[in-house]
Amino acid sequence: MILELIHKERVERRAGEPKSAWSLALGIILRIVLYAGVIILEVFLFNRLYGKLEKYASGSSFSFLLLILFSIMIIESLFSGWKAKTILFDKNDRFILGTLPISSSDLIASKVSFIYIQQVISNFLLSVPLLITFAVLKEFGPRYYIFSILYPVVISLFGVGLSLVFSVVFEVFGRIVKKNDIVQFALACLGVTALCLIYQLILTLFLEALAGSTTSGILSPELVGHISRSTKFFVPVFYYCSMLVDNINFFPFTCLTLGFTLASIIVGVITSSVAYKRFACGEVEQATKVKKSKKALRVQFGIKHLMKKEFDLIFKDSTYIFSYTALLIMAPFFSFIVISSLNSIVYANIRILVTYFPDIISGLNMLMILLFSSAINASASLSISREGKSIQIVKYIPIKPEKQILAKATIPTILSSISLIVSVIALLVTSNIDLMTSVVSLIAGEAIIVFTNYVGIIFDMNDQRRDSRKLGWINTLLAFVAPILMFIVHFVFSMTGVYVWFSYLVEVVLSVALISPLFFNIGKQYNRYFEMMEIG
Amino acid sequence: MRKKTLIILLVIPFIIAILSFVSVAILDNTVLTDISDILWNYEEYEGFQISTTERYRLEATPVAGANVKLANGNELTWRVDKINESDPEFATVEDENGIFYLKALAEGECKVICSNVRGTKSKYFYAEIYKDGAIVLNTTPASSSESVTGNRCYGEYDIKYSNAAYGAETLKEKAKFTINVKVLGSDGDYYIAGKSDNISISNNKDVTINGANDESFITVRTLDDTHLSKTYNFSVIKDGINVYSYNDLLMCTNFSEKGEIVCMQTNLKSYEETFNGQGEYKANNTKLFGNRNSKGQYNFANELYKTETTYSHRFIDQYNKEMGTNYSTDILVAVRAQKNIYGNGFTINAHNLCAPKELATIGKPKLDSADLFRGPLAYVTIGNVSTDSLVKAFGQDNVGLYLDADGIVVDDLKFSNLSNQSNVSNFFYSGSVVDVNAKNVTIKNSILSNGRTVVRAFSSDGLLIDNCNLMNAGEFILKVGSNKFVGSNLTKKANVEIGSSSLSGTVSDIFGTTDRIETDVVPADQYFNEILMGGNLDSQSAHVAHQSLLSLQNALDNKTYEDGEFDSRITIADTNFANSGIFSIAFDSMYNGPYLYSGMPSQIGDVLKVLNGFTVPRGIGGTSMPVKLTLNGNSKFYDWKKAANIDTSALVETNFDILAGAISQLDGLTVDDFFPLKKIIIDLAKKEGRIYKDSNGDEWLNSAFAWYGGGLNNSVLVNNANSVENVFSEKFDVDILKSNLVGDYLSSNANAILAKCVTFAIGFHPFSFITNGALSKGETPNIDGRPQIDDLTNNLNNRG
Repeated sequence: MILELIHKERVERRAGEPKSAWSLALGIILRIVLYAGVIILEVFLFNRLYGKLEKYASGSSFSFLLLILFSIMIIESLFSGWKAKTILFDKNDRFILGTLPISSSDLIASKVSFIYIQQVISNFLLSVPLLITFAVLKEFGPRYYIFSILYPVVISLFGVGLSLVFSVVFEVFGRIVKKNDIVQFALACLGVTALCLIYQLILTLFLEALAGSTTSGILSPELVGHISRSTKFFVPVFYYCSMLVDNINFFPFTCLTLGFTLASIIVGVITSSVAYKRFACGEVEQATKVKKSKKALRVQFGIKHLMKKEFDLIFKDSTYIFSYTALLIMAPFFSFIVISSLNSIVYANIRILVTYFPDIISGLNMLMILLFSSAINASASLSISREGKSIQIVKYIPIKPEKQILAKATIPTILSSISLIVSVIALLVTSNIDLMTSVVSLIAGEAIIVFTNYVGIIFDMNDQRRDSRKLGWINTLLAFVAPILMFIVHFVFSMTGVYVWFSYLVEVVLSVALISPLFFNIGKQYNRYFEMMEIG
Repeated sequence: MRKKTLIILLVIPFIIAILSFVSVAILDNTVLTDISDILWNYEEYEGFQISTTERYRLEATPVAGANVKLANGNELTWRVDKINESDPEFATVEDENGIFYLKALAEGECKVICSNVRGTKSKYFYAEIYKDGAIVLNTTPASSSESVTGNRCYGEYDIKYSNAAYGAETLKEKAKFTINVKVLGSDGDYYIAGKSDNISISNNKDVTINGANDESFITVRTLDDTHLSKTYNFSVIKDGINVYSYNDLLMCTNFSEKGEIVCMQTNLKSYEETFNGQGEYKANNTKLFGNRNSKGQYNFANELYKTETTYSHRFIDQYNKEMGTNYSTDILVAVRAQKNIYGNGFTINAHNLCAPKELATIGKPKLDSADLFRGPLAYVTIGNVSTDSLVKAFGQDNVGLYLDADGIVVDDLKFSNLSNQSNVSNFFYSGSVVDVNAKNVTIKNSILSNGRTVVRAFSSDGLLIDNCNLMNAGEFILKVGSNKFVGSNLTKKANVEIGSSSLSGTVSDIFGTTDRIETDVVPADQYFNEILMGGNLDSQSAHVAHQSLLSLQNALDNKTYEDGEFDSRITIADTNFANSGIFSIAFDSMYNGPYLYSGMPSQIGDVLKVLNGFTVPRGIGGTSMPVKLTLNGNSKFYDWKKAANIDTSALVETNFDILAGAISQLDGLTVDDFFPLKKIIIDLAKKEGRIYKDSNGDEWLNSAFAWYGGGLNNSVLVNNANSVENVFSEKFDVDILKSNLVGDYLSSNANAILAKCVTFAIGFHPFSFITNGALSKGETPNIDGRPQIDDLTNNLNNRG
């Protein structure tokens, strides 16, 4: 029974994936390429760090290995905890399975097993390459390699316990937060900020490692010393890895590893079981309560109210908070991080190219600004799909389609534009870009935003027809193609010695050309596609 | 945003980084270095009572910079030296498992020395060994404990000023110092028993200097029946100013219109050498070089001395005019001296100013926009006149200590631009340690180290470098040359060979004028273009071409001096050279290739004119006046280096490798691929048995003298150095032109063309070299050897 339940979990996770063989194969290949890229990146970084760390003090590379493995374990557990929250506390799942003759212990065991298998696979992909790299650099014997391969199996047990605890925390927290949109939004911003900072750290480490320069900017001797002293708190990673390298204390470290792991599982299972039962019972009671509305709804038709509705859709929908709204706010910070890091390290390496083709850097900077802005905007540009099941109301309320579409497209346009303007100003003020680049980036960025929102909505409406060729992907594609096209123009003109103002002029002209469809009876097209939309 | 879109977005910067990075061959030029200081709590004079049972533990701490690799022999050791040869043994040092004890044996005075085992760094104090009582006298400010001469020099005056700035009002007051007298072995007091007339003493300790006297003294005596006495001898320098801080030094040098005589009374060192982790001074005789605020920023930009370069800056002027840019022709100077400097063994380390913010562990450091010292000025470039030139030949560098008045004497000073570095490439942007821009200058009893060039002496007639250690250079330790040069004489009649035919005419007939345009066809340009694009030649054709090009070079040369006439005569006596980046001593001469005349061969310009910032040099080359260098006495060369680590980019820097790598067609190209000077030197040295191969298979060369090639170089070396450790080779020529014509050392056609471009720029005369250290079979050279501090004191003692 447990195996069937595990299979059920796996099928449910894969429910949204394409069914055609070609799409499936492509998806698998891309996934393999992505995982391979991550492994190459981490091995490369660790290899470069190893050489530098050994210079500080021999043994510091081992401390850093422990730090990285421990961090992977914690991050894995956090992500697993989040997934576990969905798996364990899924209402629909409980309602379906609750009626079947399946014991709670089987249910929980299957879910825990599924989480464990996921963690083992992730750890195998992320941690084992590092352990093997370390072994190669230190020229360890075969025993080390065998235990390295067993590492995910053992550590994931600890991680599962941790994940179960995290899942309960997330569930409790989520229930509190769901009641308050502002708290959701604030948390999303904080979360994205933290991710930006971590991304900056990794990017800078990577760039410095690539440049072969000293990493003293990030890894000071004091920090290295501090980390070395803290490794004994990285349980059970410290004990497991130490037993690989320390023959004398092999047995005590093994016992400690198993002890911590067992303790983690016990705590995790108990916590999650208690929470599962409590929430399951709590939801049945809640389902019987009727929520009384607090105030009477007023029917309003003005464009102002339509725009307010769009605003609410974007800000109050938790899907958009974490994929659009928070990123909008973080876009200036994110652009600044990436462009200033690239300016300081990468561009220095191609400075000879820059000396003789100085516009390449401004082209690259413009590319980054446009990519971030357009990619973030693209996720909110499919405004019709955003309605979800309420699309019926959109179709049949007595409001002109142009008015509705205008409202739908204007809100993300305004929000994305503000984000773009702030990004450009931040970069200009900090002298990461010059004035011409900022002006052209603004014009080009606005053009892409306007196109993807006002013209892209037509693609979205087209996609609501069952028998039509799907065109929504054009929006996503354009988010990448348009900035790259601008960069190509810039690069070619720079290499051929064309005056830079001419390349900017061409880019502005291209931007205007992009939004030219708006000037050709766009209203008629809106009406036409609106009529053709199918619902139900 | 969908997850995939976000992931792609996050990965793009990594992809850009990977695509934009090229693998550039970085020269790993790391050497083992020495400790930079010895810290202890001893005063200049200490007393030790004789005891049959007790010994005195000797304690000191070696100091080394972070990330330096220390050579073997940097552990501390102690010894006792006699002050007079005839003295009996007053004390000995006993070593017990690395802990040293002083055993006081008999009454008398001796010198106790703490040094590293290698002998490259040492400190001393005088030990008064006594039985019943002794009187010792120390001074505040304390001595350096590192004086070579052993004679303390005070200036007549101390200066007072409200703020350190150029032209600020200063007040010269009579100099003062304090004597700290201890009567050991009794509770008795002392009195001033005698003194020289030029000083007055109050309160038995406060000394005021009233006038100059080379033989000043103070005698103190105990009041009790023991009548123990001690005499403190010192010199007072007329008009000398005592320097107790960095601002005092500035007020005597950069901020003084005519300069003041400097008498150092403190070390001025880098931040790390001055302060400990808690921000306290490590030693009471060490202050910071620089004015540092609470944010860690210095004010050097307002404290530097700037002056126009004395070397040719014609190309920079030309470039500025054509490009509408405003590149400066000024050099930056940390300390500009116009009067004598008496170092008293103190150290000035200008690291805070001269070092890049981020030093590298391998390869050249990357400059920060805040770094003031950014490498030498350009003499001529292909491309932008900046650190990003495609090809750059160098002019004058920035300077640590600029000697800018005739007759200056620098005595008993230790000056360095950087703290000790393992990565020699870190010196690349640090400037010349000393630049002599005057006549009849004397530098003696000093240690100069850690710069791109240690001593640069151009048109420095009468320079004497006596009893010094010159060490640790990124390129040459001593570079001598002339600021005087003449351009080609357009009306000079010349007979030249062009291929197998001859041509007679004036220089302008053969080469055109310097401002000729590309469409003006001249015979020389046609021939040069043929050579440039003609590929490798067989030996006979190469010989013909070689002769032709040399005859054309002779036409461009303009020797206006007589044989035996020199711009300057320089003497080096009893001086040690150690650890250069290229060679110890270089005789510079101006490059004078046809490319510098008017951009010939014109095909170079045709290709490069698409580049932003490219301008054709016109009339930039010239013929320098020669220099005569005489090497005397016990001068030695501790300059063994791995042959592979010789960095010729200090002669001609090229960034073709980075550009080529970025284009990825010529990936991995290094300067040695198209400027094979190093390879030729190594091969010739091997033939002469001058290369030592160690057990790891590394090849070592002791590189002594180099004459710049390209342009005409008639500088002369008179080598009277009598140290038995020197075994000099004959002067041998390295003819890059010859090897380029046949394609030796050039692995591809592209490299061959690039190599010819370089020779067309610098000229066709060969480089010349003299190496040191011929080896008989089985002999192991002293590769790790370095000059001893004792060498300098011994030289002085031997002179009496």
